[in-house]
Order: sequence, then structure tokens, then C-alpha cells
Amino acid sequence: MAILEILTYPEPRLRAQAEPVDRFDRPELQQRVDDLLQTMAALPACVGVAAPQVGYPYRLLVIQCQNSRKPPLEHPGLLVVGNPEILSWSGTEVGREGCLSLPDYTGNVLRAQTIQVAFQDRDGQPRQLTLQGFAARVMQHEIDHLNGTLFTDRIVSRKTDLFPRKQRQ
Amino acid sequence: MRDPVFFDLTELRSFVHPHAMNQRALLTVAGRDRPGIVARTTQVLFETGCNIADSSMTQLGGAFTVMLVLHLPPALSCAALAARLQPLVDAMRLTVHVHPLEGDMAANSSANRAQKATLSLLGADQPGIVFRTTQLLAEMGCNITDLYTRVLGSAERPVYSMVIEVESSDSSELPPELHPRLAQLEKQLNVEINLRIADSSLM
Ligand SMILES: [Zn+2]
Repeated sequence: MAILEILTYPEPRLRAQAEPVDRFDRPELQQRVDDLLQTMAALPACVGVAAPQVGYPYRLLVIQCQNSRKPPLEHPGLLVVGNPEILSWSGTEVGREGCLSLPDYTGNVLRAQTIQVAFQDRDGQPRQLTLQGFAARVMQHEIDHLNGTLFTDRIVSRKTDLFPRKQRQ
Repeated sequence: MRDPVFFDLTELRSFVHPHAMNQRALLTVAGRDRPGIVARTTQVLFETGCNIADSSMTQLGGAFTVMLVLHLPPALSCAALAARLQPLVDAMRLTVHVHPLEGDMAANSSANRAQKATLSLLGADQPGIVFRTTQLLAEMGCNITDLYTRVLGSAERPVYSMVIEVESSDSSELPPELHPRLAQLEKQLNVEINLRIADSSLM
């Protein structure tokens, strides 16, 4: 187990498309999952880390909403997520995000309020989850890292905050 | 490309010692909104070797307003910068002011640990909305880092919309009385006020 260094912008690897995880039974992959979990636990208020953020170019991420300074009442607990696919989106919500890879910067980002996501757990078993609110936001942020996207690519105009708008569909 | 006229010896020194570029100035520009205000202003800044630190540029009504914190190169005074902007002022009928700023930006060090929130207000337009809301925030010891308002709706039924970025004045949390006090104000003004505490999670 090791606490890994988080790559920060403008590191080019943060902009790369990550490769699918082909086998989950390789010891190297299991070691990487443990490293990601330990790295997430070691960083204050860290609710998720995607493998590309530590220079591991695979479609793998970990999430723990409980690590938030004010955890949401409902969240899915500790998740190890391989090869995630978002199956459906509904509703939209603007919320502030901060990224380990862009230190000292936060911005308002529009995300789907509810998502249905299919993925493989750390044993490679297929799973499906419906996530809402903060957990859905974290999942969308981390999946973006697998596609080389940073939240700054999705910042919404602060003037949109001025317009009354339904938060849910 | 920089204009070679401005490569005099005093300015060249700033390339040898980049930290010599430390005189700061606040530049404000305002005028009737039209294409090119930002481009032509920043062209002058680029040509004179000014660095843009923080900036806010926005359209307000029919006017365009620019506020910039600049780092001036050692050879350039505020007056000299104002003189360089003069042709632009004349051509685009702008109001320009260059104001020297004291001190450095190190005062921001505690701001990163301050708790942040976004206050949004929506309701029928009436006198005193901004005053009474900001007075309450001042009483609670909250800092305002950003405030913007807009009148929405029809001329007969104007709706006032305001968004304020708020933070605690030190590294502590925002005062717990803030929520109930805002709820009181909401009733008094008959508006909707929503306070969203920023999540400081990292992902
Ligand atoms: Zn991130």
C-alpha cells in the first residue's frame, strides 16, 4: 500500500483518455485499488480519486462521500468502480466543485441530479447503482477524469445563477 | 509581439529580475458597450508589459465595465499607463482610471480556510434589498467576496435577483445564527433567500 502523489494541472496525463480495465484478478490491479483507497483516506475532505489523477491510465476510480466535511444523509458508502458507464441522466443541478488536480480553485458546475451507472466492482462483478445529488456529482466528476475532462471545462456562467430555474426535471 | 520602442534599459531589468514587477494598480474602464473594449484595453496592457492579476469585466445595463488589478513593470508609472490609454479613451469615449494599490496580495492566506457560501435572493423589487441584506452580513462578521444583481421580469412586475458570495471573516465557520437571521429578513422583505454552504470536498 502506498499514498500516491496526485498529478496537478497542467500535467498532460490528466488530459488523456483512460484505457478499460480488462482483468480484475491481476495482483497489480488489486494493489492499485488499495493505493487509491489509501490515497483517498489520507487526503483531507477527499471524496473521490480517479486512477488517471495518480498517473494510472485506466478506467478505475474510488469514491467515499463520507469523507466530506458535511457528508450527505444518503450515500452509497465506499465504492471501487471499474469501467463505469452512465446509463441515464435526469434533472440538473449547479454545485460548487473542487478538484485535487486543480488546487485552490473551485467553480460552479452543472451536473445531472440523478444518474444510473453500470460498472464492475473490484472483483470484476457487474453492478448497477442509482446515485443522487452529491454522490451523483462526485461520480460524474471522477468519470470525467477517465475521459481527460476537468471541471473547468464545464464551468457555468455566474450570471446563470441569477435566473430562476427549476433544479429538478 | 512587443513594441520595440518600449524595450528601454530600465524595462529590460524586469526580465533579469522578474520579481521586480511588483507595483500594483487598479485599472477601471467604463463606457457604452461595443465590440473591442476588452481587446483594445488589453492590447495596451500587453504592449506596455503589464500583467493582469485579478479581473472583473461585465456588461451592466448598456455599459461595459472593466476592473483589473495590474502588476506594472518598474519603468511604467500609473500616469504613464493612463497616458498610453488616452487614445483609446478618445476613440471609444471611455472613462478610465488608474489607481496605485498599496501592499501585496499575501492577505489572502487565511481566505482559503474560510467557510464559503452562496446566498441567492429572489423577490419583488423594492428599495433597500441590497442594503438590508449586506447590513445583516456585516453585523454577522461575514465577508462579501462577490455580489451581483439583476432586475428580471416585466417592467410592470420587476423581480429582483441577487447572488452574494460570502465567507467567514477568519478560518472559522460561518456563524450558526446566519440561517435564522436570513429567515427573518426573508419574511420582512417578502423575498426568497437561499444560503448554500459551499462543500469544500476535493475530488
Ligand atoms: Zn478532480
